[in-house]
Amino acid sequence: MLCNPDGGLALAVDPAATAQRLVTVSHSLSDPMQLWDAQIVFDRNTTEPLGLALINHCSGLALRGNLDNSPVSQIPVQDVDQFAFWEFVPSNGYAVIRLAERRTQNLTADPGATAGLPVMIADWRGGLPDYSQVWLIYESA
Amino acid sequence: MGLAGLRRAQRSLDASSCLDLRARVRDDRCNLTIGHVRLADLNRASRAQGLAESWGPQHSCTPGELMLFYYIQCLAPGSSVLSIDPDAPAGNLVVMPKAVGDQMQLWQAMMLFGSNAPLGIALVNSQSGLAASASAGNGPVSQVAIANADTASFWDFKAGTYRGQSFTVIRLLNRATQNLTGASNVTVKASASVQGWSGGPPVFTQTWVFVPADFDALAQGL
Repeated sequence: MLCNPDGGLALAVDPAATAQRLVTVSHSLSDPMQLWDAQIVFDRNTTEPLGLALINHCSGLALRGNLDNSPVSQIPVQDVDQFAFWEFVPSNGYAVIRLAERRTQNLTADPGATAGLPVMIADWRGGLPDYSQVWLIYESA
Repeated sequence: MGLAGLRRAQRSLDASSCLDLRARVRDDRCNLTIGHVRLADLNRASRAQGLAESWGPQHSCTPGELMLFYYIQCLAPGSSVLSIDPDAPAGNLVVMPKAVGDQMQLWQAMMLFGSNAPLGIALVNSQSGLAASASAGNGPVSQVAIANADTASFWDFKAGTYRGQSFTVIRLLNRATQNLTGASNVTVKASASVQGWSGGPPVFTQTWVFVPADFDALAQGL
């Protein structure tokens, strides 16, 4: 998932972090830290489909939006909750990725387009989202 | 009790309770306690501790077998699971008795994208890497490469309950009356298919449960 479409930056787990934060890194299709599956998670009791989780190929963890306008983190798939389910909305050839639980909270890269900066969820206040809130989704193979 | 002891206790309890769920009995892990600690909370604390231990500057990527996979288990008598055919791994799908850890029986329900827009949910097999695809009308379920997935490969999941048993009906996204259908009392293997649903409660062969494969890892103390 590439952000700032002209910048070639990808959403990734942080290769240098001591926490489970997410950052933007230079795009590489072969780096598992940048590869994500959008998977349906089913309730362990009722087998009901709960939502789409974004699961990283390297960590095996799911992307989670914690607090409004705050950095995103990761969570074990066994523990996903409503803040780990995402929606994908087409927008002018890009995709807006937003929390299913709070649809005004968009996955947001740092507008500085610099690698290594944390990725957030941040307010969408209506109108066209800016470049920091639109993403390109590529297949890895 | 140290973390290692807590993990041993957790594995023991998970193993016994998860076996129940895999036999389609409602999971009651959340009600189990160690002292005053709910097992679900203990699980979360243990996993968080494990993350803190394993995820540091020198971390390496998690092995693929820890990704999220499901057995898709039919509620018809015999509780067979959806599988690729061991005798034709790229051919039509079958149902067969569950074999713990068999990659042919593990599935991901994965969203596929085209032009940055979500297209639909494909059922992708862990062993073949192919997506389940339905024939037109009633008939067998084949497999296609993910790159070739089309509307015949996208599925919808409708949860329901009958006499206290939760289930999911798996139906074609664009032909909502065509349900994924297994078979009863399968001893070796039987064909999986899509069959029409004409209203009313679904029959047992058209009801399924998604059983997370990590329950097996817990049961084996991995």
